[in-house]
Amino acid sequence: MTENTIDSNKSQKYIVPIGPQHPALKEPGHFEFTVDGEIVVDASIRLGYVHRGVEKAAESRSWTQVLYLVERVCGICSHAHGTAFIQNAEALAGIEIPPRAKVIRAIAGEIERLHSHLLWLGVAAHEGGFDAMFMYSWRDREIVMDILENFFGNRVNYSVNIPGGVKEDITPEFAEQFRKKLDFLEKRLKHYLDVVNTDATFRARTVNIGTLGKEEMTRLGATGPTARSAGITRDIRVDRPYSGFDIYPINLILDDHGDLNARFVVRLKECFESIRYIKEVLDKIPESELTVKFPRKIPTGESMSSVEAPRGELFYFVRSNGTESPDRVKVRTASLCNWGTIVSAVAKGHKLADMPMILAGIDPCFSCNDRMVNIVGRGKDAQLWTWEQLRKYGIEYHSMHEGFNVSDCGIEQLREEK
Amino acid sequence: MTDLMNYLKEAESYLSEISEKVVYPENQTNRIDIYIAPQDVKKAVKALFDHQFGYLITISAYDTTSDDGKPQIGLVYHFGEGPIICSIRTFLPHEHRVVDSICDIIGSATVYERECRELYGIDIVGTPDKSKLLLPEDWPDGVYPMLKSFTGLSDTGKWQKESK
Repeated sequence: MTENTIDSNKSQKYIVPIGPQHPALKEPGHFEFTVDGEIVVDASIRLGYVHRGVEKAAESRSWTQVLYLVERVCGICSHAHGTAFIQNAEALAGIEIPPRAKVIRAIAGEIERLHSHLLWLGVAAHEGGFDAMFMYSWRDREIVMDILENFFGNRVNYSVNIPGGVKEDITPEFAEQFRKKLDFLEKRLKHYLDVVNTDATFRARTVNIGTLGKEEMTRLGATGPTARSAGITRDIRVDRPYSGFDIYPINLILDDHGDLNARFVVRLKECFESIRYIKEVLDKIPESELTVKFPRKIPTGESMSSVEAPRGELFYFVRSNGTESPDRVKVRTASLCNWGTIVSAVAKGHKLADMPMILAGIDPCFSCNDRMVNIVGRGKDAQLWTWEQLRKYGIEYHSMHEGFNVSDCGIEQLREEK
Repeated sequence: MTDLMNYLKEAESYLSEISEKVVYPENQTNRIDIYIAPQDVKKAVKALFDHQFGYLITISAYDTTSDDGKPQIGLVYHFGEGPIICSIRTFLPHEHRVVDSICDIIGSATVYERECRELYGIDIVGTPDKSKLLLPEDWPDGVYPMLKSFTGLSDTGKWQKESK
């Protein structure tokens, strides 16, 4: 498992494998950090422990079945997957969905972004030991989950899309309730942004950590909030507007610091923008049908398009051979390109203790955050670490070396707000 | 619309020397497909990279047949730039699935190259990491699950039993 290599300078480097096996794992991945003392000098990645062969399975299912299959690629951004796939299928079939359906797809996408960003905020804070923030943000996320459940009948995998449109309409009564919940959420988010921007301990753990410049991020093809936190104007909703965003445009949120703190700020500001967008659009959803007829067989051809999922650009490449099933469905998920960025560039030169927060910073699929770490110190006995132990190590390291006590961060204000 | 056309023409101009065929797909006006020979892949990617045109979205492979009925792998390098998607496309015959790595130009392409290697058996010359990315460690060598000819492992039962 653990390898030690001796380079030409006769200095010894240690490889710290993280993952993938652990009884509590839901979505495993495996990373190997090569460390020189406390500093990470190299990093690599191994995925595939939950490889389910979705792309192969798609080739033997009907277009409608594939829509429901791809929604299950990811539970958190299932709407993004469904939208990306079905808009390619609709382009191939040569149909245009009604404007009301387009706008409902956009609204659903923004609700999904809110729940994903709030989930991320909690987990990323937890990795740094800011557990008060974690609990409050997850409590508030429940408001979004309630909206999803009331609206589409499910907390996750809500299947808003059907081939040729959407399955549910937004009623005035629902919109009314919806607005009240969004108002409350907006108030809470203002407080979180305040903590992120002003709390001294929080800033000490995030400012100038995991920094990557605009140029390098561009070169590595980073997308989503990770890219926008470094000032890259890359947002599919703005660049290649798709369903709904072509009718009512959305604003781009940018920050130019490129560090971990900027990733927090960008995601929180995106939540405000999503709320603003939903509220504005709710007032003017165009009246029309919800669906158009979708053919069973789709003409031969190919289509490629992207959707701005909460984590970044989600790309689908779909080929049709004129039958009832797709010939090829290629999925490039939003985390994958950012893994490349973080693993190949950001991790290097940072402390092992900062790894949990840096990894959390790109918002990887987070059911994979409890895992095993196998660590071998300089020639000493091997130790077995869980992800939880690495997290604690990170928190304690900062508490010992830099005197941070993160456990109470921001909690007083949060209590008052309650 | 003219803005879109400018982007598309820009992409075309950078690859004009090596392109064999250029297609503007009718169903998606923001796309350009540039067909090149397999040996020119690196040159094409470098041309876009040197002009700071776009970012690599991904590398897709698909199993298909040529016009004269021979099986071949389509390999597509998707680049995004502003409103457009520029695809550099090449075809590799089944009996000679070899292409140069682009990792020395775009380092983050390694995960996409590992995927193509593993699922389609494409020999990517010079790719820095040839370890498995997606398939199990004990997956048999020379079996590429995304090829159309693959319909399941013949000894599935035995393989499943062993992995228990």
